[in-house]
Amino acid sequence: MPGHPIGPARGPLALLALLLLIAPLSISGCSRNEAIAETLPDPATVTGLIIDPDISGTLFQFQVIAPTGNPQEVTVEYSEDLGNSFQPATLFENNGSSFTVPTDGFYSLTWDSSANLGSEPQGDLLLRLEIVDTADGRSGTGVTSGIFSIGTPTAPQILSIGTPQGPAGGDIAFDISISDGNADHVTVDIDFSLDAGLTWNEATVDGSNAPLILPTSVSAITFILHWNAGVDQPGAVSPLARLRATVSDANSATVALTGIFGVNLVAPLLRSPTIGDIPDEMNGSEPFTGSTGSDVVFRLIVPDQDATITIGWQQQPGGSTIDPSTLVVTSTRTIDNVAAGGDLSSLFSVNAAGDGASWAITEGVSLPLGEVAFEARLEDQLGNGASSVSTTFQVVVGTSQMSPFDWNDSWWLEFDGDRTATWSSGTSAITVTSSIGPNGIPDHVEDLVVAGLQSLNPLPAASAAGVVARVRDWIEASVVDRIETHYGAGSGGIPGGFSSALSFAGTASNHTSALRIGGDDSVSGFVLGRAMVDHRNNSPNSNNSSSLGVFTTNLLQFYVNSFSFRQRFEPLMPGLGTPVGEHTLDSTVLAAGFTRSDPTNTASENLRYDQVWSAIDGWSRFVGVIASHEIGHSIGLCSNGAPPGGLFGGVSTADFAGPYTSPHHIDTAGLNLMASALGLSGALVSGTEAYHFNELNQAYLREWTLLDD
Amino acid sequence: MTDRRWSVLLAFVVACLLCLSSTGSAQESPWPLVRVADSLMRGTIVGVDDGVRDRQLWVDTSAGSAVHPIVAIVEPAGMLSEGSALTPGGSGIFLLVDEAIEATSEFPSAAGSMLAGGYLPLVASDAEFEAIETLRDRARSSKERFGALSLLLSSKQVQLQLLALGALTERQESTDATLRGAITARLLGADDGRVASAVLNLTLTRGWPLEEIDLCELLLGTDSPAVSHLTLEMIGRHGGAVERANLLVAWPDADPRARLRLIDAYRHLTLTESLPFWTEALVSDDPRLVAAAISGLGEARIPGAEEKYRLLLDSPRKELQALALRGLARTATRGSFDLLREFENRLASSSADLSLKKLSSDLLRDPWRVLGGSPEPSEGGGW
Repeated sequence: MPGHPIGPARGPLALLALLLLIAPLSISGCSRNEAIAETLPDPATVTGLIIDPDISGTLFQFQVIAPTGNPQEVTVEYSEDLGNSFQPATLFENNGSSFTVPTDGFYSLTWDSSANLGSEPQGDLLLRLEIVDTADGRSGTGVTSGIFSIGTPTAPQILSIGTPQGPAGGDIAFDISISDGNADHVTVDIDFSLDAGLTWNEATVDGSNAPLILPTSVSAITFILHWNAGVDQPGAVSPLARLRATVSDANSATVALTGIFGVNLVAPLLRSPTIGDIPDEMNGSEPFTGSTGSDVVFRLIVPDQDATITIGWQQQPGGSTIDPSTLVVTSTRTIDNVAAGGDLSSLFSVNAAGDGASWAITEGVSLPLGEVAFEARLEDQLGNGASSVSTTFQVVVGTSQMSPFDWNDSWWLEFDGDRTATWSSGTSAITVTSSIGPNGIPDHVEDLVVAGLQSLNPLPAASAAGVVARVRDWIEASVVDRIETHYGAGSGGIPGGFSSALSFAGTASNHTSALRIGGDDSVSGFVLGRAMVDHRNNSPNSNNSSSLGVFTTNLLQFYVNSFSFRQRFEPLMPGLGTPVGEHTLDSTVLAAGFTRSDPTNTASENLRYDQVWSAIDGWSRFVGVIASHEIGHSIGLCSNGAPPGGLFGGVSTADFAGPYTSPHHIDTAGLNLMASALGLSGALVSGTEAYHFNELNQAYLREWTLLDD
Repeated sequence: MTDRRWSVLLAFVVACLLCLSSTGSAQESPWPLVRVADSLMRGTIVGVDDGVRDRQLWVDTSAGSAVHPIVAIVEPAGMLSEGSALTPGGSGIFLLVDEAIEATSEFPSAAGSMLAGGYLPLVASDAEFEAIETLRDRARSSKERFGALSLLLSSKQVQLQLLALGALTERQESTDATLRGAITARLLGADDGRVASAVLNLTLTRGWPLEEIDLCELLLGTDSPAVSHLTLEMIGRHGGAVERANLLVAWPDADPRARLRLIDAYRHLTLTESLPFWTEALVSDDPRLVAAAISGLGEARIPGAEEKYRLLLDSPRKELQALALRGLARTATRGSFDLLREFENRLASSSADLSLKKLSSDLLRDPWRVLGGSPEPSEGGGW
């Protein structure tokens, strides 16, 4: 049967129109090539495909739209596996698989299906028409038919569908057994319900929500499919989940349901790869808000050796237990002979709490220099995958110039300075007064007298027992202990602190830097302390002038009548209680031989001992907080600006910055030692919520992150 | 602050030559600074002159009027980083002191000198500014002061609320039910930890109960550890059966941070009814909670604590033994010290770890020094 046009030929008119369009463009100065390139008509399109299948020959009609007006070659292919593959179709018209039509119009051809198909009937057939312009060789837009059958195929059957065992999560596997009397390929649609079948939604299966095309045979074939439940319903929890499978060919469909099972699709939360414990908002994995309100991207500088990369995770409320063995960590660079994109998780060790894994980059392995991005993935025990996270670091060689602690900085906490005189008055509301100028008494001792922790007039028995000097020693040692604790002593398996180059003592011998503790500030106001700022701890710092140091007189003036102060010190304060050295029991309980646990102690003795130590504890906590803050300034905390030049000092526009953010200070969540203001009530908080350096500052102190100029 | 108000020019010059310096100031109410200032000035910075050490701020003090008087003030050492870092456009109240500017300042013609930290970033209306001046003036009548406190407490600006709360805390200003209600309202509506902390400090200082507040919710829900700490003090002093019951029923739904606070509360308040939760905490997956439970078990006077400590002391894990020793010392009863002594004797006759031996001896002798924690004097009850 010859092909024939069933519509008007429009090619010559189109060509004429094209020529008319080109002419003025050429006249106006455009080059000919440019004009043609801009005005070439669209390639041809095949559309309106209609199939009339018949076992003796399948007639199909179609329309060709050819704006060029050129003859078009139409190539016809068929598929007997629902489009997985196509073969040339034999046409009755010329025994070939292609046919040239003279121009655009409506045409009909006939496919000799019996010459091509191995068996009939079939219910999984498709025809595909491609079109090429015979004049300019350009391919046009083809068309593919819908599924059709030839003959009367049998309906495909679902022999069984397995019910997943619940609770299930992530990618949920289930099996389905199907057969077809014609061994056709079939279309499989999977829907899911979370309410036992009242409502249904299209399911994503094996990464796609398009219908599956599966082969069959006359006997059962079983397929294992995976419902990507975490993609379809992230965060959902239901005991009434159900799947519905619809298996169909061109003419018929069969439906089957699973039983009801439980799903828990609450995925774990994965934190971006970071240095130490630096939170996402400060490690460069996300921008911060700059002064103009726009996002600012930044990178942490990391030394190529001696840093620790950590990946943290968290079970979300209602979620399943996290499976650390599913952790996958990749990098954009080759590390430890693992090529870019390879799994580095074997380098990481899961921490004791089971909520993260760390890689301590020690000798033998170096990070490659330049930008290095790390990406992590993780699942819970149900297979729910956390969203993948990544962070990019700038890796450098940790030079001496960049390393703040490549020299031993030994701090002298000068408790003996005498620059002011301090005294108190009043019996209920206490007034603390001071004057500039030495008076022969260490300023810190005078402040302790106001708090009741020292006495200038101890009882003879207390003097003989050396009580006042002993308590002073205890206080000074406790302050040093507090500072050491803030600088990491005893935490995280690092007995010496965050940096072994830092040390603190109450004596001047062999010191490099100094911080005065005690007395008043020579500047008007209630500043608790002041110290020099030293970017990257470039040199020793002596913070023991009249305007530098920790001003415990201001502490007293500010807090002496507050609840928190009175709670700790009232039993010892002059006029309110009995100062150290002036209580008749002090020569006993504060003597060298007193043992608090001795069962022969009286209750009064133990009470007095405890009262004194409660005050020592309160004093050392607050003074330790202020001293640690001031020392921090003199070793580089917190340089202004975002990394890599600063530690967010003064970046008050960042969304994580609290109200106490100012130049060289950053106020982050919790009690942060480098906030611009410090509080007595906060200083008395103990345990995990006590004052601490924020995680970025800790990483700087450990030289796990460095600063540039 | 010294009563000799003079600037130490030499010290600043030295500091300037060496390096910039930075300060830490007190976190609570700015009231003490406001009280000691010689005068207050309200305005907007329209210009800044940087000196070598000092800064001169040009302040428009018109406060909305048609006339725009510009006043120059000095920020001593403002070029050092302890300065306010103020720039044109900043509005607020400047706290000034009468200093001999001509003798010490790089800007001798300035009209005033700022206190260190003497800038309050807020926009005060005429009435609010007058209220602050009223509070500073002890000669004003109690009625006037009362009105000023009410006005500032009802402000939406945190700094003004803090000023009023600071004045109420420091001075025994008279109050009535209305003012007390305004103070409580500040706590109920506080999403700023500074205000909540100031209210709690005030109420604790004055010995007022906070009956209208769900203290348990505040204790567990606040992001501020200082507020949580003060709330626990409040419950300890004024809490009743309801607060205690609320603390107990909060356990099952509490998140890890809240559970740490609850364990601390059970210890602080010796809530023996919390026994099941201690048992749960001791076997928790959270090592911080386990540590808190072991160290607080005895102090909380939990029944059966002695037996639990005995079991922990027999643990093969040294860190658990050390925690148990600390917990026994913190318990500070005759029974707990006896058990500690018994363990020390046992170690003395064995080849046990020397660090545990030393820890036991030190804890028996100076428990608070070793623990570095606050003793809560108590000799009664328990074993």
